[in-house]
Amino acid sequence: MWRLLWLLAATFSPLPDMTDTQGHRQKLTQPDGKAAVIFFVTSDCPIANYSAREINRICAAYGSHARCYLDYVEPDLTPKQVSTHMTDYGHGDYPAFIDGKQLLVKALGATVTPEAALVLPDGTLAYRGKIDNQYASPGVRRTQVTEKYLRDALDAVVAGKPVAVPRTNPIGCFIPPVRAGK
Amino acid sequence: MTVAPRLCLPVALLAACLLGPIANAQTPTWSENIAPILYANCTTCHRPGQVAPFSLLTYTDAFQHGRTMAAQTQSRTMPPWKPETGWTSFRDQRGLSSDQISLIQQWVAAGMPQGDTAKAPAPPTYVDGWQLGTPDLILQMPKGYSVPADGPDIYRNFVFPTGTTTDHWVRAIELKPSARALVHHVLLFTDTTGTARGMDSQDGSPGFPGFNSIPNILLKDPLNALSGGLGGWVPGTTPAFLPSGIAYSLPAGSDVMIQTHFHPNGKADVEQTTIGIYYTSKPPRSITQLQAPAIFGRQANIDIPAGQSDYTVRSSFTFPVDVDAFSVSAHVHYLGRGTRLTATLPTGEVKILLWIKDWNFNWQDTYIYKDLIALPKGTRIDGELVYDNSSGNPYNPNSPPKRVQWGEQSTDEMGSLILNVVPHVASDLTTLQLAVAVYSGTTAPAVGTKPLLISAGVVDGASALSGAVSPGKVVVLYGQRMGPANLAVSQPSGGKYPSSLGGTQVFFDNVPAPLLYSSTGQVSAIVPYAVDGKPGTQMKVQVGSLVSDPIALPVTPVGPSIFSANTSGTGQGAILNSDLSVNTSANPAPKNSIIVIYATGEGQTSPDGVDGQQALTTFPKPLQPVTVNIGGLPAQVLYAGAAPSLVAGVIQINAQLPPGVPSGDVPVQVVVGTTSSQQGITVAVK
Repeated sequence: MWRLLWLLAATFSPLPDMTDTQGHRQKLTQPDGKAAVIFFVTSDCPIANYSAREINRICAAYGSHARCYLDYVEPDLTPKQVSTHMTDYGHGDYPAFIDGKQLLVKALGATVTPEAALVLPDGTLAYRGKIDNQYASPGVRRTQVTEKYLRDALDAVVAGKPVAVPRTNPIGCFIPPVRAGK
Repeated sequence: MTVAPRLCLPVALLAACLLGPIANAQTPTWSENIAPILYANCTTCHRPGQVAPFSLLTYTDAFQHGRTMAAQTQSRTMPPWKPETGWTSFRDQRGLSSDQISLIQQWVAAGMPQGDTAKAPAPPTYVDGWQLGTPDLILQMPKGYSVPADGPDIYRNFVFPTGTTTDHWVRAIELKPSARALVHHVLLFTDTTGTARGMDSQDGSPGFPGFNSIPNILLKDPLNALSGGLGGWVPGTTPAFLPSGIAYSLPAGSDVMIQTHFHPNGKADVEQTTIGIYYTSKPPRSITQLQAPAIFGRQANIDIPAGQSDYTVRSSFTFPVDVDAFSVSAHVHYLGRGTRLTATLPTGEVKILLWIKDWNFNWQDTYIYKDLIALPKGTRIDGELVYDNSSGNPYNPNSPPKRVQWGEQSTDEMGSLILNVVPHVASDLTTLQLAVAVYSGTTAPAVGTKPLLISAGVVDGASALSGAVSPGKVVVLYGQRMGPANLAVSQPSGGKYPSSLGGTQVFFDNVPAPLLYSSTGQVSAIVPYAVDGKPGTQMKVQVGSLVSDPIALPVTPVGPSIFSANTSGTGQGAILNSDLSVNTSANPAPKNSIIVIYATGEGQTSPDGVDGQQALTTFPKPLQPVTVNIGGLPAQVLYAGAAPSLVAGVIQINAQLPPGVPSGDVPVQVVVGTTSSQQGITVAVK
């Protein structure tokens, strides 16, 4: 019994509520049956920036099954800068957080930007890692994307199947430590 | 300063996880150690309004990007510099020393302290206007070109009529892109025929597309094409005048034609380039451009089968007159894997003029030599291009791979190594131009069924590194059609290893090398002692009557390298403990004991080295003194010479672990004369 509860506790990672750049409180796990996809980004990481439009396409394609969120891991950004950045780089209308204290980073174990985390309604971290294999390494952008890990994970979740590749090593800019005083 | 617990990140940051922050008086700080490195090497590009995506001017910038900096500098991805270093010196060479890279690692592991800001250097000031003064001619695109937010890299050609009425000579060009974040490099040419102007804006946008439109345009005026264009531009280059007496040609009334490489970054922008041109008087010596293979590779009949990862193209040209080389570049498309241009001088000296082992078409510099390189009459230039058309090449535009040939489309291939020279004696120009023109009109011979090797496939048998060879060095060759299908391992006979094995022979300047094993894809040989004292050597592989193209290799008197236990060239060394058991981390050497190290590359010996000879009755010792460092401490060397019963070229070194050496895997280096063996070899100490 205790073992079962411990197992449940291990898989259930309660995500903190976050206030977005418009001032709205967001509960990432909601009883609407939709998964949450959190994208960790910074405004000046070239890999995260190049991925922005694909993030938008994914969020549009899976909108009925998943809610998207952007988590900017940059303590100095202002909501206005976030808004400009999202427009410039073609992001959609999803909520964005300025996560200076890295609450979501810690809760989900993100290490680089861009990194995607797919969280099921029951709190299971169904997928965490890179969005696709657009980058073979930080300096090498593939000419053709041949693996779409996040889309595959979303397809599995939508079909009620297990995610075949639940974790991948993301490629991008390392998330810095939390700055003292932030 | 407390460090919040966090996930262990790979490589350098493992130290922080295991050991915690390093708090001692010598901890590097941003103010004293890191800012100077960044200001001297990085902030030309990493500052607002330049090509880099983020700035590194302030402490906060460095903190936010510090971990990425540590990873990118450790892998030498940043600062970007593709040519192998140590062979020829170039202007504006970018790169960090091992010490600088190590400082960044330590700084990040220590939590990235700011230090005493009073000790920080002032950030550099950058000139905003024309760096070389007011240009003599300023050209500007009349309309901007829209670059999309994402998608594949774009190569687009733009035309700038000059309206000049007399010939001019150009000693410098400064480029001012408006979409600085997107322009990765620009190549500049002149068009005397108006063809480019006719193609301009045909598709509704300024300029015209294509990698390969340029060769066809240039070929309409071959004499102008021979004169080599107007050079290249990459971000971060300091605009500078060409060496004195050298200038590009800008014929009267010609158009300037530029090929711009755009690297989309997620945000659309508009490019409207401004070019500043600086004139000089007619130079005494005119430029001739040699392309090997000629015409951007058209003469090499590039035809790469789908899936082939080492398709090689080779072309050679011999200078009929003395020349001086002042710049070099390579042009290859997506599939390029490596490029190498060597010069074999009449003295036998081999100069490596350009060597890029992992080609990345995003970084196409034109490299200007620090000093002119003198290439006497009779110097043979070898150009080698290697392509990877397999699915393992992340730049392959086709998934699955398809056959790729030379052509105009962006999914076709091209390639050449480009050397810009001036004749040493001005009146030799016509002879030079004629020879280059004839060569350019000749098809480069295909490799066919000859044994095939690439330069990067000639490696040190102990360190697995490619580069120079030395007398007696054990080398491994990787290639195709070099030997029998089944591995043949040689046996000594009468105390000597054979120089013919399974039909394979390897020659260094026509001297046969002893062979250790041979197979179609891999051969091991020992460089003959006959190369001792020579400045270079020509290596060939012969199988039956088929002989490979020669590979020109520089020669050094010594080039020590320690054999590794797993043959990778690093890690646990091939070392015995004093009881002759194999040294491993499970069987470490006791403190202060004697270890036996096996190495190669010790050079000429006394008595003179005899190719292939087993050390049975004579045990030659290297001419140059041998010292050993273990854990950075000098170790006493009790013996350094031939390994009994092993072949000449393999050296055995008995050294005593110095007091003070720590336990665990400890670095070992063998120094012959003043040359040290490769980094990364360790011995296990109890």
